[in-house]
Amino acid sequence: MKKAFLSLIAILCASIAAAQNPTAYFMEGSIVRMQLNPAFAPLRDYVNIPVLGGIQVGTTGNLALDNLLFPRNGRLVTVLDSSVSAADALSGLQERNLLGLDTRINVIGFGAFTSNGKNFWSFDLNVRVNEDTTLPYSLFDFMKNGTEGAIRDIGIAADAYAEAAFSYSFPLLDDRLYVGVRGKFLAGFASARMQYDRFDVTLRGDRWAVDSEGSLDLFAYEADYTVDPETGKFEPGDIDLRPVKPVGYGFAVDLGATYDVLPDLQVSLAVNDLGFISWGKGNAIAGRSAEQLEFTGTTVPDDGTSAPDFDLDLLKFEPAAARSATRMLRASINAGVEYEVWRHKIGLGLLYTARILEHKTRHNLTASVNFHPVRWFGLTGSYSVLDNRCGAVGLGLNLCPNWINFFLATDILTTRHTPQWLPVRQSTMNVTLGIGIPMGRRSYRPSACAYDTPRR
Amino acid sequence: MKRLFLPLLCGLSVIACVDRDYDLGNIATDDIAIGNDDSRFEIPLATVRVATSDLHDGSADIGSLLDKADTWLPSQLPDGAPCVDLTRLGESAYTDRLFDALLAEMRSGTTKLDAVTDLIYADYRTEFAPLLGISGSDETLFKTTFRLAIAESRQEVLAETKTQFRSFLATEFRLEPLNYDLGRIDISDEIVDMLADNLDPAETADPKNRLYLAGTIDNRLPLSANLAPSFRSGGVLLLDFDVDIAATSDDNAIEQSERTRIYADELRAFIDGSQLVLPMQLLRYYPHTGFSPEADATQLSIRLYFVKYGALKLDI
Repeated sequence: MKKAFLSLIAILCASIAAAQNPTAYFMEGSIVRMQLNPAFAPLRDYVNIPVLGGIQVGTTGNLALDNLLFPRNGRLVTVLDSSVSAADALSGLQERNLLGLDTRINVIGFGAFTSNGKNFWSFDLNVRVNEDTTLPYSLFDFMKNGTEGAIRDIGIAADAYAEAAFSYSFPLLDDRLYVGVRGKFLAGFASARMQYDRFDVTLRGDRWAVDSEGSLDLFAYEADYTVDPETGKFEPGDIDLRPVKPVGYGFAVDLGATYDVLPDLQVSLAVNDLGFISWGKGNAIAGRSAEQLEFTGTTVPDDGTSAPDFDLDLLKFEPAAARSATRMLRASINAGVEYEVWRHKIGLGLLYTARILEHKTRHNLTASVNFHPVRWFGLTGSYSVLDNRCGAVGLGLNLCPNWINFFLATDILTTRHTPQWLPVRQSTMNVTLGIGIPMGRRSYRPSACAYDTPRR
Repeated sequence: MKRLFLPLLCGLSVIACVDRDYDLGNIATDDIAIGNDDSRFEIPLATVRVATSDLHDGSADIGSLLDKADTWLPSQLPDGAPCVDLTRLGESAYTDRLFDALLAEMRSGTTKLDAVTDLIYADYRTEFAPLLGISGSDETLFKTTFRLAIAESRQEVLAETKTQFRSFLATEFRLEPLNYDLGRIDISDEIVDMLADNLDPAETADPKNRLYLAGTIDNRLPLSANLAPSFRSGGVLLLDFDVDIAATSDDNAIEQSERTRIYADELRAFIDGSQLVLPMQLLRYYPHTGFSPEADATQLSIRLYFVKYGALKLDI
């Protein structure tokens, strides 16, 4: 059996590719799940292996790989390839197409129970990188059909910051209720927003026209740009930055609670990343793009009017006065319910997650079966429904014997995926890895897997 | 065997789920485009405005030319025809009927007779004076004598009148070729590359990416004509074709054809600047149909555009 477990670990290790992993939520004892709800606690005091203590990579959104890439004649081409028909390209797209990337790496992490074995505190130093992209259907419609496009809300947002978090959880109501709070000091290294509110294109026989309006705002240490002397504009490629020092600071809190409604039934709720980062204008770049170009052809004989060359080129910005900005984090809500059956060897969980992205809120419902025959071993299978559309099957493994805390969970194991382990049809992906060393006191909190000492 | 079941199951599921068609190491990005193989785009090129003052026969402007034609032609064409078929002026029977109608109108009233008499004095008195037996220096005497000769059907005068009538319609009623410099077209090199980079060469069987010159012609003249435009760049012929245009019609199409197909090098030459030579062969004339003689009025408006089949190539 142990070999089987090791084999499974090896296979899961091979699948490391991805953030807030819903499969992890009901895996008792895993250190990683404390990130999802600060009321949770591990089974023992711990120290994480630096960097490997918690790596979470996740994508979210409604764009799958097969919406963007198409096999054609032995080649893999992009949705914008001329060999991809408009019907094929547009059939899988939504009104707003979202792609979010969320990465969290735990650099330092440790935690311990207080003397009563129930109150728990922990400290984490994490590096987080978030990216959101929204691409409207009208953009693809224009790119594939090509005549006219009234394109709105093309946006890319990215933030990179470090968070130093201290969390504390404690029991109330005779151990029925556990409340957890995590306070996070945030140091922002880079933040960028590029948004096109309007990009209207007309490609007709009597008139080619572009009417666009966009903006670029970037914060990073020593951020600067080189302006093209001919146009007085700069492109993203003209920007230099060295994000080695923080240029923004903020604060955030995670709030969580678990409540044992019945001895076999626990409900939980967490609101995470309620906070902000204020970015100073001293290391800021701002640009505005407003193009109104029209080409109706040359008039012969020359009527004396002259116009600049018609150019569809995007992403050219006129320098603008930089301003400081305060930006909210991407908050999330986790609401779960878990019911224990079969002498507490199996838990049936249901988790609702709402994640507030830059451009839209994403909803996720995950059902899971959590197998935890003994305290040091847990195996979870989950199925997530994403915005009522597609599903993802997730698998998670938690090993926490006396000498190691090991956690691995992913939802790309059983889905069709590329040789590079990216899901082909699934629009979200999560891979979570955590390795820590248990030490010190054990938890005296009621355990889900302990039939003899039920939660309540 | 029992112990191997779980790892084998997992291993098989992993292997079975790998889709080699989606190997991200083999992404081809060399054909990024707006549109696809079935797309059709139109790209404005130029509008050539031909003013009244541009139209002449080498000496007389279009207004004088049409005035002269209206004088020579009977007010009512034979058989109630709406126009004079200028391609049939080589047929004696056709011109004879026109001339007979003219002569009948000259004899039946003074308006046409006076108009023709004024025209003869103004343009042909040196030819007619010997036939009339006068010097031609006295305008009143010349015109009186000419009217009398027509009324008396003096054969030598009628013959000369017919000769000049035919000569005008057959040889003088024409327009000189027009010449225009299109100059550089105000579109960026990137846009030109979008159009040109993926054009199929001439030898490609069943080409998908093709470019044609097309357009519409708004003709305000009471003349139908055959236009034979040719485009040259640095003396090199880029394109020539011909198109028939109807009189007083804004719906004359320059249809795409193999003759109007353009290849990448020709397109770039077009954009950099070309010269348009526009010969006009007049086909039919509709007398008395509202010609505007203002010098700056646009008589012909030729809107040219490109038609691109297939996607617009994007160089990303």
